[in-house]
Amino acid sequence: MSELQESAVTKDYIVFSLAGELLSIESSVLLEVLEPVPVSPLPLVPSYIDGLVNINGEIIPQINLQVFLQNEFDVTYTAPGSGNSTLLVVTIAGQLIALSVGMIQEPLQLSEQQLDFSSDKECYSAFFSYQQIQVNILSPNCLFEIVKSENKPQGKRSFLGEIDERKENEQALKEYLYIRSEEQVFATLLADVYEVVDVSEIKRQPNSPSTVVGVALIRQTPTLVFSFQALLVERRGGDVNTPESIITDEQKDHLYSLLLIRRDNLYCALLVDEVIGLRLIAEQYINTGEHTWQQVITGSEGVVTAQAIVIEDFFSGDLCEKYRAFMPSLSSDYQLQKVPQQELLQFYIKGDKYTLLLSDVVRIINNKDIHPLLERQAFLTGAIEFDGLAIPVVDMGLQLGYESILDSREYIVVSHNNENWALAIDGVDEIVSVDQPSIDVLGATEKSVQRSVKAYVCVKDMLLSILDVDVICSTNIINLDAG
Amino acid sequence: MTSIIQQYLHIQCAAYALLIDAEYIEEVVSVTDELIRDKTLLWREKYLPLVDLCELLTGQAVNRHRDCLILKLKREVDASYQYLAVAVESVNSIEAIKEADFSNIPNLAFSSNDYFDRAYIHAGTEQCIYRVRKSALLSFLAE
Repeated sequence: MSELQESAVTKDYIVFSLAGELLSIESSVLLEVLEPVPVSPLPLVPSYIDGLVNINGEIIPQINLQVFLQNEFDVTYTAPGSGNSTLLVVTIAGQLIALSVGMIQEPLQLSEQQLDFSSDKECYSAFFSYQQIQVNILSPNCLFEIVKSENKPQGKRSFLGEIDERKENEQALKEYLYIRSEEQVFATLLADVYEVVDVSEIKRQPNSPSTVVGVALIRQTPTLVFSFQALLVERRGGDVNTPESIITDEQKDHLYSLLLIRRDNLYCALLVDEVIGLRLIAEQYINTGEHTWQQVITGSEGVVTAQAIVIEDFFSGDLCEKYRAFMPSLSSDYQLQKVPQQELLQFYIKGDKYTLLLSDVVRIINNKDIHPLLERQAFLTGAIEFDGLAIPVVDMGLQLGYESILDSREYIVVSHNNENWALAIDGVDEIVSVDQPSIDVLGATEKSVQRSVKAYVCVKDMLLSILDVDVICSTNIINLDAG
Repeated sequence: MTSIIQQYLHIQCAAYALLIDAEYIEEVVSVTDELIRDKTLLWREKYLPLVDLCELLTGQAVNRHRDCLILKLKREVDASYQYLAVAVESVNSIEAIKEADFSNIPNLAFSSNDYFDRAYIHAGTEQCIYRVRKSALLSFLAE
C-alpha cells in the first residue's frame, strides 16, 4: 500500500436492508442500534413518522425510512419475516431520531476513492459497490426537514450528555404574587412578602418622605405604609410626588390592600391597588425587561403578563436608613407574632348558617344534575358527575335534622378517605378567616357517638358550628353497608 | 428541587392519549346531538364555542356518544374568564403528575409541537400521553 493510500481519509458506514434492497448510513451520525420498542402514535405529523418512542428515558420520533423514501422504495413491500426489525438511533441537527429499517448487514470502512458522488438523488450523498451491488449512502441532510432547526445544538450528542441537559431543562417553578398598581400588573416573589392584609385606615405621616403614604395598624402594630407606585418611580430615578391624593375622605369605606414586608431590619407595608392572586411561573418565562434591573414575565405566546419586582431593590442600604426615622419603633416583639389563621367556608341549610374548614373542601360546584338512587340509603340522595367520576351526594338537610333539600343546585365537594363526596346545601355564603385560637374544638368522644359538629367559632358576633366531614361521610357509609 | 404536582384529566381522542390541566376544567358533560348547534354547545342556557378535538387531530369527527370538557380560560392574567367546550372521545381518569415526571417531546417541524409541550410515559403501558398546551386551548377560543 502506498503512503498516499495510507493517508487517504476513511469513514465508517453501516449497511442495512430496506424493502429488499441495501442502503447505508455514515456511522458518525449513528448513536445506537436497537430492537423495535413500543411506539406511541403522534397526531398532526406526516405518515412516515410512526410516532414517538422512549429510548433510555428520552422521547424521540420514529421514522419509517421506507415510507420516508417513498420515491425510491416500494412502500407496499414487506420483507419476508418480521419486516422492519431494527431501530437506528441517529442524531440530526441535535435531535435524536430513530430510523425503522430492516436487518443490519455489516460495518464498512470506506475511503473517498471508493465512493461515487455522482448520485442525482438528494436523499443520497454517494454510493459504493458492495458484493457487486450498488449501495446508496443516506444523506443526513434529507432528514433535516423533520427537525426544527431553531436553537438546536450541532454535532453528535451522547445519552450521557443528554442526562445533564435534561437536568438543566427541568422547569424551576417559582410562586409569584400578582398585583395591580396604576393600571399595570406587577409580580413579586411570594417568599418576599410576609403577609397580605386589608386595612380600612391609613393615618398620614406628616413631613415623611414622598414615598410614604402613612401609618396603618396591622394586628395591633403600627406599620409604616409606602406607596408601591412611588417606590417604583423612585427606583427608576423619577421624581416622586407626595401621594396626598391616595387617602381621601371619599374613600372612608375603602379597604386598602397592603403587602406586609418583614426583614431583620425592616418592617413595613406596600400599598397596592389590587392583589390579583398567585401564579406558578417557570423560569423560562422570566426575561430581562427594558432596564437591566427589571424583569418581565411573559406568557407562552411571548406576551408580557407582568413586570417582576424584587422588593429588596426598594430598600437597599441608604434608602432603608432614610425611612428608618419614620418607622414605628416596634416596642415589643410580641407585636409581630403572627396569629395563625383558619379559613372557613360558610353556607346555609334551611336558613341556618354552618361552616366547614376550607381545608376540608375540594371544590364548590353548582348546576349539576343529580342522578337519584333507586332506593334511598341513609342521607344519600343520589350521585353527581364530578371530574368524570360519579360521586355520592349527601342531603345535608336530612343529615342535620331539617327537611330534605330537594331542589339543591349547589354542592360542596369534600374528601373523605381519598374519596370525594358532594354535600347538598341551600347555598354558599362566603369564606371568612378567623384566628385559629378562637376556634373551640370539642373534646374526644366515644366512637359510638356520631357528632356532626367538631368545633364552634364566633364570627362577627355570631356563633357558628364547624361540621365534621369525616363523621358526615362515614355515617353514610355505615348505613349504606347496613342497608 | 421540589417538583409541583398538578392534576390532569387523561382523555382519549382516537389513538391519542392526552392530558389537559385540570385547572382549566370547569365541568365534564356528556354530549348529545340535541345540545349541539352550528359548532356551539348549549351549556347552562348559553351557547359555547365547540371544538371537536378528535376531528382536529385526525380529521374525523366522533359521531357516537362522547364527552365534552367545559374549559374556563383566561387570555391574560387580568382578563376575564372565557368558556370553551372541547369534545373528546372519552375521559379516562384524573392523574396527579409531578412536573419532573414529564419528558420533553422532540422539536419537530410539524404542528404537533403547537399542540403539545411535554409528554408523560405511562408506567404500565409505556404509552406517551401528550400534555396539551394552554396556548393551543386559547387558540381554539380565537377560532
